[in-house]
Amino acid sequence: MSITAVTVFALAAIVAGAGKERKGHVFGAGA
Amino acid sequence: MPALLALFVRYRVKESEVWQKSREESWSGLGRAIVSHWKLFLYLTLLMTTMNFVSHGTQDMYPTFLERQWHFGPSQRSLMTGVSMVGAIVGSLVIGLFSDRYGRRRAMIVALLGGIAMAPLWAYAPSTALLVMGAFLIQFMVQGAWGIIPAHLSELSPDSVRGFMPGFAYQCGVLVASTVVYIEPVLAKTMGYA
Repeated sequence: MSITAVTVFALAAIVAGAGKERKGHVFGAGA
Repeated sequence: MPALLALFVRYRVKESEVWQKSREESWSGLGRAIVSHWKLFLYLTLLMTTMNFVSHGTQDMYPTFLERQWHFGPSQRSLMTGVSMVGAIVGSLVIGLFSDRYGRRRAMIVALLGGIAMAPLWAYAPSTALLVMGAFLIQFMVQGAWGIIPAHLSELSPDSVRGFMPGFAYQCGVLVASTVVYIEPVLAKTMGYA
């Protein structure tokens, strides 16, 4: 369970890091 | 009371300005908006798949783990679940505040890496006290990362599909991650619960 958990956590961290926080994208800005 | 609340919402609550400006007039318009953001949709689905693997992977089999490895009875198992959920609440508060100050991605990465650091304590605690600590800390990290998800999905979704994209991608991720229900007992059988 622990090895599997570490693998899954690492994968989730990589995916989370691969996303982008949109610069200049503000609610209501019409994006 | 719910009926009165519905009436209050109907007559007193106004639609947001964002929706007024970006509303889709037809289903085809909504479809085109979604297709034009297909990469984002795939990313959100993948993100939700991995996040559901993390949360279900640390919760679904945990009572069984406590029962079979630690020989805990129902009251002890429910107490441990309560402790872990307190960890979840505290984690979502702390990591949520961290995300407001330092960014959603950074906070999620920190929380998930924190989860890796806590995994040995959570799974291989040498004493009951450390087991309790591990249960608290693993859910502190997991639900700390999860607490950011609603804001993150909404902020990543463009105005034109914000009502549809976060929820649909979320549920598609849940659908893909539903395989975890099969994977968990198979792994527990072959690799053990800890």
